[in-house]
Parts: sequence; C-alpha cells; structure tokens
Amino acid sequence: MGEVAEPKTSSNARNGNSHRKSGDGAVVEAKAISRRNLRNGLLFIAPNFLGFMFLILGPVIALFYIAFTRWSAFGDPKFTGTHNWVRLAHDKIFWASFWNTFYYSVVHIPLTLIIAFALAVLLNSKLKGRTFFRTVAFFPYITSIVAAAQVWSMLFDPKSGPINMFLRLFISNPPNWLGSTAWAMPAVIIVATWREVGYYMILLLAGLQTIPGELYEAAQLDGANGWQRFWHVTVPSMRPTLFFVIVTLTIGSFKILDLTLVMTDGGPGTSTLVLAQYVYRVAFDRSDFGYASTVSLVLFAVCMVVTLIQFWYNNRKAD
Amino acid sequence: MKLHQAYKPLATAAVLAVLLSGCGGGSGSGGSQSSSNETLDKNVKASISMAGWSLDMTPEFKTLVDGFEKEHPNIKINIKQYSADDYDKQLTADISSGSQPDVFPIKSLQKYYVYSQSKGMADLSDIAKGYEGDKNIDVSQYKMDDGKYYALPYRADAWVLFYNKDMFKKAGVSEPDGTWTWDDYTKAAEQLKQKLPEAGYDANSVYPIYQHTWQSVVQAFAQAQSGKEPKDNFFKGDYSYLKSYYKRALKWQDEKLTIDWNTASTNKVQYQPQFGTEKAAMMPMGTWYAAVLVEQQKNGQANKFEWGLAPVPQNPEVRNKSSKPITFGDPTGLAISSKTKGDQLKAAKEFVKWCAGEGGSKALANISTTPAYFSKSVTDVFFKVDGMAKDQLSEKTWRVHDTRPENPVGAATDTIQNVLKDTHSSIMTETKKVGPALDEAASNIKDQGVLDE
Repeated sequence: MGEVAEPKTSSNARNGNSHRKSGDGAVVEAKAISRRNLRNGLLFIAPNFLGFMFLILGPVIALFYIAFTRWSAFGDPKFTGTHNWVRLAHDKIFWASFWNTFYYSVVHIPLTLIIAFALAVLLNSKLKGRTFFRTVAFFPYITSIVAAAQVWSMLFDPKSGPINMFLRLFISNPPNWLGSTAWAMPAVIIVATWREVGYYMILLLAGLQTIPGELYEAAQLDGANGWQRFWHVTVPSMRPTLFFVIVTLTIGSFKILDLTLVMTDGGPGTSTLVLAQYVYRVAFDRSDFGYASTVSLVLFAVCMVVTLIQFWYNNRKAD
Repeated sequence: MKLHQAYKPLATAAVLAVLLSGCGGGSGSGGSQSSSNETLDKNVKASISMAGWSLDMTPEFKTLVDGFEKEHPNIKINIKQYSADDYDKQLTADISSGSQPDVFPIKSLQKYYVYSQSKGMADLSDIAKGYEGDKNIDVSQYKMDDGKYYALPYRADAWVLFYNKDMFKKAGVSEPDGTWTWDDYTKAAEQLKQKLPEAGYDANSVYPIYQHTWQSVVQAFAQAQSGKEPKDNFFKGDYSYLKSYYKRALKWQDEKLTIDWNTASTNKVQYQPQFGTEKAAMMPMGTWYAAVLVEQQKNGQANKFEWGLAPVPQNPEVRNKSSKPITFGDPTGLAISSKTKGDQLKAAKEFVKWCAGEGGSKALANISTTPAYFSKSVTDVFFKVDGMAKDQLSEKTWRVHDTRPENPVGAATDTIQNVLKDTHSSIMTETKKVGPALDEAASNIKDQGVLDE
C-alpha cells in the first residue's frame, strides 16, 4: 500500500512546495494531499484487496467459528463447543495424517534445499552448456502434476517398473514402493523433490547472481579456500533468498496434497495420508465441514508456528 | 472492540452472499400457485433446467429429454452440464446457495440421504404413491422415515456377473448356471486358470476373473449378503462379516486368478478393456457396463465375442432366504428443487414421472441403459438391442434380483465408508492381515464418534 502511494507523495509534495505562500496554508494543503494520497492508494489496492477479503479473509475468519460447530454445508452450523476438539484428540486417523505430514516435511525440506542449492552453485559456475542444464532442471516443475505422478507410479511398479528392474541388479528383494506402508512415503518424497528442485534452484540461482564478484576476490586475496568462500561469502550473502526459499518450501510441504492424492490416494491404509488430504476427505467425502474446519485449523496453526520460528530466527541472525 | 471489527468483513461477506444467491435463485415462476397434483395445461409453455454430467459420453440425459419433449411439446428442458467426478460437490454448493437446477439426478442413496437434510428437494410423494403398488418398479428405497419421497428412480442398476461365453467354451469349463456361490466362482476360476492357456490365451496377461479395485467390489457384496440388517453390523461397529469375503479376494490374487490389487491400482487399470479385450473371462460389475460393452463391440474398442449375464455368486455360509439372488446397486433418481414453483413445478413433476415410468424406461432401454421400470415391453426393448446378450439366464438375471443399497444409508455412512476405504487398501496390498485390519477399522470408526449419534 505504502509502496504504491509513495512515488505520488513525493511528486505532489514538490508541486505543493512551488505554490506555497504561507505556513498555515501549507498545513491545510499537506493534509489534503495526504488524504488524496490515501484515497489513491486505497483505490490502487482495492481490486486485489476486495478479492482477498471476500474469497480468503472472510472464509478464513468464518473457519474459526465453524471449527466449533457441526455443519454439513446445508443450513446453519450448530455450535457444539469443544466436541470437535475432543474428537480430534482421540482420532487415530488424524494423528496418523499429522505425523505423516511431519515425516514428509522433515525429509522433503532439507533434501530439496540441499539439492537445489548444490545445483544452483554448480550451474552458476562457468560450466559448458549450463543454459541447457538449467532448463533440464526446471523442466519437471512445468510438467502437469497428474501426468508426472502417473508416470512415476508406473516407474515404481514393483514387478515391471524400471526402478525395481534396476535395483534387482544389486539386491534380490527391492521394495514394494507404493504397495508398502514403509516405502510409499519415501516414493512420494522422491517424486516431490524431483519436481520442486528446479523451481527452488532458479530462485537460488537468481540470489547467487546478486552477490558482487569483489567479495570473492577480496576473500581470495585474504587466502580463503573454496569451502571457506562458500560458507563465509555465499551463504551470508544469500540469507534473504534462503529465508524466502525455506519459508515457501516449508509452507508448501505442510500443505502437500496433489501428489499423494494422485499417486497413492493416502494409501496403503493411511501410510501416506497427509493433513490436507484428511481435511479434503472429511469435508467432501463425509460432508462434515465442522470437523474438517477443526483439522484445517490445526494445519493452519502448524504452518503459522513453524513460519514464526523461522522469522524469529532470521531476525535474530539479521541483528 | 477488536473482535467486533474483525467480524465486520464477515458480516459484509454474508450480506453479499445472500444478495448473490438471491440473484441466482428464482428461476422466475410465472404461473399461479395451485395444487401440485394438477398436471400442466397442454397450452401453457414451460421451460425448466436439468442437471447432467459428461453429456457427450452419457447419452441418457439427452435421450430422456428428447423422448419427453416429443410427447410434451409445450415443455422445454435445458440441460446444464456438470463434471461427472465432482457432480456431488458442485451440487452441494448449488443447493447450499439455493441455485440448484429445477430437476437434478441423485447418484447414490447415501447422497439422497444427505440432500434430504438440506430442504433443497421438493416433496414428490404424490407421484410416488402412483407407483407404490406397481410390481414393475421399486420406489421404496426413496421412502423417508416420515413416509415422504423426495426423488424417484429413473435407472436401477444392479451388480451382476458378466462372463465371456467364448472363453468358457474354448476352455471347456461349464458356464454359470445361476446358482453359484462364491466357492463355485472360485472353482470355475481355478479351472479356467488351468485351461485358458491350453485354449490359446496368453497365460501372462489373461486372467479368469477381473476384480476391480473399488472397495464396493468386496465390501458391498459382503454387506448385502451378510444375512443381517445394517443396524446390527455396519452401524454397530462390527465388521467381521467382511472377513470371509476378504480371505477369498486375497486367495484370488495370490493364486493369480485376477490381477493383483496393487498392480491394478498403481497402473490405474480400467475395467472396461479388461473384459472388453478378453483379458478376463468373468467380471462382477454393474449393469451399466452392458451399454458400454455393446457400444465398444460396435466401434471396435472391444473384441467381438459372445457374452452373458449371470447372477452374482451368493454367500456360501449364509443361506439365502429369498428365492432371488442377493446383490447390490443404488438406483439413480431424479429430484426437483424446492425452489421450483408454479408451472415449472408442474412441468418438472411431469418429467420426473415420465422418466420413472414406462415411457422413459423404454427410451433408456433402447440405448442399453438399465431403467427403473421393468415391464415386459421394456425388457423386450432392452434385449432387442443389437449386440446385447440374448440367452434366458441373462434376461432373468437382469430382471430378477434382490437389490440392497451399495452402502447402508444413515448419518454415519460417509465416515464409516471412508475409514473402510483405508482398510480396503491395507488388506488388498497385504500390508495388514485381515483380522487386525478389521479390528483397527472398528476402533477407528468408534473414535470418530459417529456410531452413537
């Protein structure tokens, strides 16, 4: 809001200055200008903000109430106090999906970050054909998730899939992948990482290119080796980019839905059921929108807490 | 104070929502309010809307509308297209905002129950009463506890056993005779397994049976044939009746009598080509598949072979009291919006009544779709279609059965069904043993707190 209004403020203020005669008039005029700026600023953000208010903010606020009710999407929600929350505490399927979401995030976030960063550093160097490799790395991100998930499901096929054919060269009993409770989640994580690495690589690459070359030259003169230059020049200079990447990656990981929906539909059993899919199931398969809101509030709280911790950590580092 | 301000946008949003739904709702009833029993005057023109899905692949809506409009030139019906997969989600949104079309199909009995709580459907008891004593149609599944009806069936599909007569003949295995239990089914499958390769079928890709991946393929048969009322097992949290059905299903996949569930599920195997291109000699499926098979044999998507319908195998452990074979299947119904009034309501009722009756049923039978009204002449039309099964057993199978709902209907159904879906994948991928998996399901369902409500 401020950003939109600011350039106008300065130009208007300058115009005002040239006409100004007396001090009193200036105050009145300045007030008028600031009102006009406020009005213009609000007009500028109105299209976006109105959409946000009706389509996101309104429903989100309503969610806080609906989470304490019983509601089938017809008629009015019936207030049931803490009933949904007691049910939540005893709901083993909810807890399974809660831990599955954590499992997914805890493995997926560092894995994606490390690979994306490594690729970005590699493709930032003067490598032959780096444009080609950048495109290749970004490619998975622009494929349709449903098509990609379907192809991966076939690759993971325990009997005739190429992955297990390859593994059979080394071990006699390769995993059952999507048909086993232990290996279904790793399979999902592999696909998710494959898909998202390219996107985060591009973000990190952009960050890398803003680091001035002089810093590296200075470090080199001071006798820093490659590893030291990476830790003491690259990483600190990249902190704003890294912070952005980690926050979006974290929120994206906690909200994962599309991939498990297409690849495993939460199965076998509940082994890849994540919170977002549980919300979807309770709401749309069971028409239990009250309880679905309760579960989604938990998801909301988890995302919020983790992000706040990241902000706090980042600010502490920045000071 | 802060709270108050936070509620402001919500209140505004609510007001706006009311305004918007006000605009979408009233489909403009021009006519005067009169008793709904009266039929629409032939000289009064009326235009109503109707919901349908995937219109290019689902000809039934157009067939019904065309057939009806021909007999009722004063009434015009506009079909509004919905997505087939998300039909119920879209309709839920429409009903909750009061913008549902005048006439809308009800895909399953469970959804009928859910919508009946919404007050979005008009009372159709007056039409239903006319069909109540009629032997050719069963409207009872739409009767609510208070005796009212909010929908009438226009299709009454039931699950039957499709079998490939050519494959049976070539293998020299005796065809279903209409008295099979699931044990007889297994025996026939084992014989086919042995003899199909000798008859020249590829042993690696051709199976005696195809069991599709849906949970209903195991669970709904078990429930329908359990010999107990749903309130004594399904709604009581006792799922032991599933045990023998799952043991058989696992035996079939372990003996490679069918594609294993895991392969079928990860490769998203479609059932139509499995039976249609002779990859399986037998397949339990709903009667809707007959229309698909006839069509695909004509256009070459399916092989040309002789096929037939047999009753689904019966429970070997629980003796069937009724003389009719027990199977499952939900009727597809038509409901009318409670917002529809006046001439439009009369026109809509006329349409729904026609679709449930002989007129609509003949039109549907003509496109190989199983209708709701099973009179002699409708049966004749259905089996006269070129490419349809021809024998006596098929006709009897199609016409005579004791059909139970796919899912017992009640407030807890969706939740139970949802938990049992996870159980189905646990058992069929063999990541859990049948007994513990069913115990876990029972305990999870109890935790949801829906059984005692």
